Amino acid sequence: MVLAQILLNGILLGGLYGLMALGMALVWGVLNIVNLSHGALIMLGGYTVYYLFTLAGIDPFVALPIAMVVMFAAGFALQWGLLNLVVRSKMLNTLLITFGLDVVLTFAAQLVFTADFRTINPSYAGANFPVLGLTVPVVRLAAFCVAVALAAGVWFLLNRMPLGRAIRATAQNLTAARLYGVNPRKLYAITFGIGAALAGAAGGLYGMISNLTPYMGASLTAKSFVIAIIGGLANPFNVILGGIFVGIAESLTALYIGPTYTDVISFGLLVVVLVVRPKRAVRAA
Amino acid sequence: MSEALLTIEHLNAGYGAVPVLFDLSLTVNPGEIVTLVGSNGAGKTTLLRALSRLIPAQGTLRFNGEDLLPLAPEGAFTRGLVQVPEGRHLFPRMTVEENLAMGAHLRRDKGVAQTLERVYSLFPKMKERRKQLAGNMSGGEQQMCAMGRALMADPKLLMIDEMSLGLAPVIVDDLLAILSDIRAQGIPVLLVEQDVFAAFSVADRAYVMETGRVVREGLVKDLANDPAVVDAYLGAAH
Repeated sequence: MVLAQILLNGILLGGLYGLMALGMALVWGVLNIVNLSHGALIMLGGYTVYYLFTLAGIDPFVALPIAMVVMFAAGFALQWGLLNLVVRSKMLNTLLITFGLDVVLTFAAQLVFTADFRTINPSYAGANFPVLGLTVPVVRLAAFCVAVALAAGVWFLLNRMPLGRAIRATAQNLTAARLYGVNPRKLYAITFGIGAALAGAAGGLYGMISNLTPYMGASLTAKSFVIAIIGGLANPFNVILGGIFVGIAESLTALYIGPTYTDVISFGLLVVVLVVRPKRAVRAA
Repeated sequence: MSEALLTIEHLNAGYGAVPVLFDLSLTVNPGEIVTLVGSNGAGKTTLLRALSRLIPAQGTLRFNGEDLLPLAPEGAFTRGLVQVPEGRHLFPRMTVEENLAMGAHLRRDKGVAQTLERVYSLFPKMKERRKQLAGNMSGGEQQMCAMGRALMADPKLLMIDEMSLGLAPVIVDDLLAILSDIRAQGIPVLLVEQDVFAAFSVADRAYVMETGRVVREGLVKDLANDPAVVDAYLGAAH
């Protein structure tokens, strides 16, 4: 029974992990940018929901789409004004600039939000209900559902809408996309905006389950990186599955080995995947 | 004669500090198939890149009565100057249908479905393969898909770069026949080719390029009897 409960916790948490990685995988696959500031964007999304909840009294789940719009605008501006200058250059350049961005955003957040731990704590935060003898926490279940729904949305966008078709086309052959009237600068900005919006949603959900601090970004970037590689960059549902895989692995580790070893396991998984299936790790969208 | 569809005069172009095209002049009239032939490195692809506004150029570049030089790649494309790039450049992990749709990606008019039917009637094989990934098809099929994608943009001039490259002669013959059909539908063609024999079999006029300059031009039937062209490009057997 304990094992079943642990598995359930891992699956629910893993859905959220998958959502965290989804934006990173999208940006990575299309723009070939491994965005080291992705975790900082998650953090900013978390604070956006936090302040919409505490200052404006908006329910966190209602605040999520608002935070996504805000983060889309921020991501669009960031790509348009800054990252477009280095996109398609050597990967070291984009790693450096997004690393720098991560530092700036983290310490700007520390300045503005202070280093205090924050939690988005709606009245139903502790609510749960029993199913077949297992305890299902309401907020975690809702977070899982939002993550799956957003992954479905991304899948629909990429595979069924003209904008998504253009995004995939640009990822597969930039020359041809330009020849056929795609403006890559704009498309990259939209794609990065979508990635930031997904990060924002993940941050809001994370803030309801765990703590928000200005420094949370770095470890979430790393976790997103691992999951994006495990899930691949091509299919949003695989990214969610990758997240669930890591979520379960972490939960089992916490139970059987000890909570301090969870990161050892997720990065151990990264090494294993890179050794066993290196091709898959670098396959683009 | 009324104004040509495409007028190039005294064009210079290249990559950064490296000039490739020198004082190049060329015209394409409505209803024509014009071919641009020459060996590897003559600058044929560079000319198409300049026409699609992918690289800077100086000189006169007029299309359909409009100056092309100030335009961005999208601008040249939306005005109907559409190219099938060398090496097809399909979107490999997208289906044939999606590749074709990308050709019409900027079109907002109601005629897209009609154009798709026209493309399928020109290339029946593409209709059969419409759910297949473009990257998994043979070279000839990929070239058909690339040409179909260009036609989906409703071009006023279709530019094709190295259509025959890497294809079996029997496939090339099929594609040449389709070029005549495309012209019959009112779309002029600028065909860039290394295979001079194939190009001359379908074109009305030809330009011969060497090291960035046009060295011969005229009607195909005249050039095919020009000793210099015959020696250099058509071989003794001709």
